[in-house]
Amino acid sequence: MAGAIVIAGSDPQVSDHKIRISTASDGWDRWRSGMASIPVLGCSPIARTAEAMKSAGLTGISILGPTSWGEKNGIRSSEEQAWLLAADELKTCKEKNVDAVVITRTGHYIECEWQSLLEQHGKYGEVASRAFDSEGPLDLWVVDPSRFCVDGDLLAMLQVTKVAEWAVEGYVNRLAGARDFRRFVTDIFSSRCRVRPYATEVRPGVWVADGAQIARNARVVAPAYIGHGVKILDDCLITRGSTVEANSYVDFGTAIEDSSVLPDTYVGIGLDLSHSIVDGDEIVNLRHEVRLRISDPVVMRRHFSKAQHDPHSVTENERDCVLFH
Amino acid sequence: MLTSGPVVIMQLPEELNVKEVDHFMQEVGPLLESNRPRIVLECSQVHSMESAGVEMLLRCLEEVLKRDGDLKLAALSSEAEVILELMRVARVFETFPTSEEAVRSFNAIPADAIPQDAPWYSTLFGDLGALKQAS
Repeated sequence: MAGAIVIAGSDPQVSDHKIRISTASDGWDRWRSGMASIPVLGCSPIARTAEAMKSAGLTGISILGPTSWGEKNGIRSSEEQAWLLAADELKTCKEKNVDAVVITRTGHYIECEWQSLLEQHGKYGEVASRAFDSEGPLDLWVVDPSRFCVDGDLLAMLQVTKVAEWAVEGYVNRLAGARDFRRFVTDIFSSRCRVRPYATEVRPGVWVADGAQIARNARVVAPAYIGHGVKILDDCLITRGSTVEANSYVDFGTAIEDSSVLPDTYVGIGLDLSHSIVDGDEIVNLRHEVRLRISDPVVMRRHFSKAQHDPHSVTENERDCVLFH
Repeated sequence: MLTSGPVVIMQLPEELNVKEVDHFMQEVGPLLESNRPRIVLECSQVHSMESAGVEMLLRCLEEVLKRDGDLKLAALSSEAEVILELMRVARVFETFPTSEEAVRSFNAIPADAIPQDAPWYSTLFGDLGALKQAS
């Protein structure tokens, strides 16, 4: 029997350094912490990792640490707390005689054969095994709970324990910044990884989730993804690998090219958004390598409810939309 | 007779919000009403720009063009570039890496503005040469 502990990391990787509280000021492309918990084509990398583990037969998967869901619901948790909880969880696994526990920290996204990883760990006979790729160590370990001594700081223990090295052959994205995030999107569109969009492919390369409304004279050019509850108004253009995540609203005549609009974001009238990631009132532009906050709410803003985001209310503007079920 | 004054370089403030726009318009207003105004707006300090700021730039451009002048932007910060592109007005303005280049551009057509290999260029001047020879 094998279990799993998934730590929602706030930093891209902790392999060679300690956890920092926030990476927000580290550079233009580190626009927010916990990138692995941001939905990408309908589902976050952290949820996709947990799903893959479940399908591989791992049981008792615990997801610990700061997540977007937690932030949204006012639950403040730190990564340090998550590691402490993980140590307790590992002790519980020991009591339950669990053979092996996968510990992964999803600052990054890794695709691997989980069963093969567990088999290899068994063959190596070490207390712990650690995954590596061509760029170095990854925050993915397999631990034998009966032999692994947890005394306080689990992360520190993992870093000093002698490990067997396991080479990951599958897709790895370290999600270290905005560029990696956009690369992940394009890798999904071009099937470079196993991830599939959480939506229906309404025509080749165009995925539209349930409840999305796209005006009849808006144009969506493949590859593109329109998330759940999204509204795209008249004369908009969504093109070149763009994604509009759940409950976002793209107002009249706006063109979105090679960009990601994150959930609950209002994008104003007649804009030309390209090579960017937009999250509420924050925009990260990959071409100019700059991150800025848009103070003008008619241009961009966060919105959570219909009443809040829809400046035109429900009028004839929205009647001529195609609703996807 | 058309006369034109010197090129005036003005520095845009760090934040182009409604308040700053009003303040800036008071400064630039008399200049816009002069004969053939030639203005360079230096944008290196601009870190944020609301839609009021973009409207102000367009209004200034409209005013100078009415009086047969011109307005150019120089040393655009990355933030200013992103906002102008986002608002679809980046192509409306002539932009230059530095104020000096923007000032120089008032007195000369940049060489790269005319594509030398354009078919009309060689044909037109080739024909002119032939005409001269014939005459």
